[in-house]
Amino acid sequence: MTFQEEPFDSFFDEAQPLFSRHWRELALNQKKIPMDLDREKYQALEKAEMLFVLTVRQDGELVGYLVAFPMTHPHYKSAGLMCLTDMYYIVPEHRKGAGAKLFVEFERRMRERGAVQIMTGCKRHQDHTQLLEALGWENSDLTFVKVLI
Amino acid sequence: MTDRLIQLIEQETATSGITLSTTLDDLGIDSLEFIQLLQTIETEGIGRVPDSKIAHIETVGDLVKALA
Repeated sequence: MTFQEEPFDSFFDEAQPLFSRHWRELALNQKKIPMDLDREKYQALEKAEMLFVLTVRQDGELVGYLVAFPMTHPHYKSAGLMCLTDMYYIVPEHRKGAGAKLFVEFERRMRERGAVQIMTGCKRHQDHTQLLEALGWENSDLTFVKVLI
Repeated sequence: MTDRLIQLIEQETATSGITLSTTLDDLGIDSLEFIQLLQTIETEGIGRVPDSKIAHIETVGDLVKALA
């Protein structure tokens, strides 16, 4: 299993089947809010150097990813680089230990870039609190959603 | 060190017959158990796996190399 940073466009095309699996497994309100990843928006973020794509491959096959937004935070402009996770996923058949490795690699690569803080989350119905806390993350926020359609 | 490590892994994962080619899959451990195993290896004084090597560990042999 290998972990590497990759450019967005080729990743985006190759990851389409995984995005569908990810969405079906985890997304809430699927009947009301369909999956529709905005390629142009991600491309603009990559152009602005605010996109991080870390892939997981098994014998060359894409089996997972972590996408994040490294940027200075609007509240803490002078604090330095921070990074908010956009999404992460590993196909179920390759999960044994891969999630931990993915987060270790994410943290390691952000440290190398000089990031001062990294942020992530998880669904309540697929709670990774124990793993993240074992990796030294602090549970700091609660997120609430209200669908209006 | 290798014998001690294997003994510890057998104890922590309730698995027997572990060799250097035993994989994490064979051990049946998930991400949390993998991290807890690395932490136990460190607290037991066997050694600390550098973060840069964690992603490459797929077998007990890889773990031995990462601790060397």
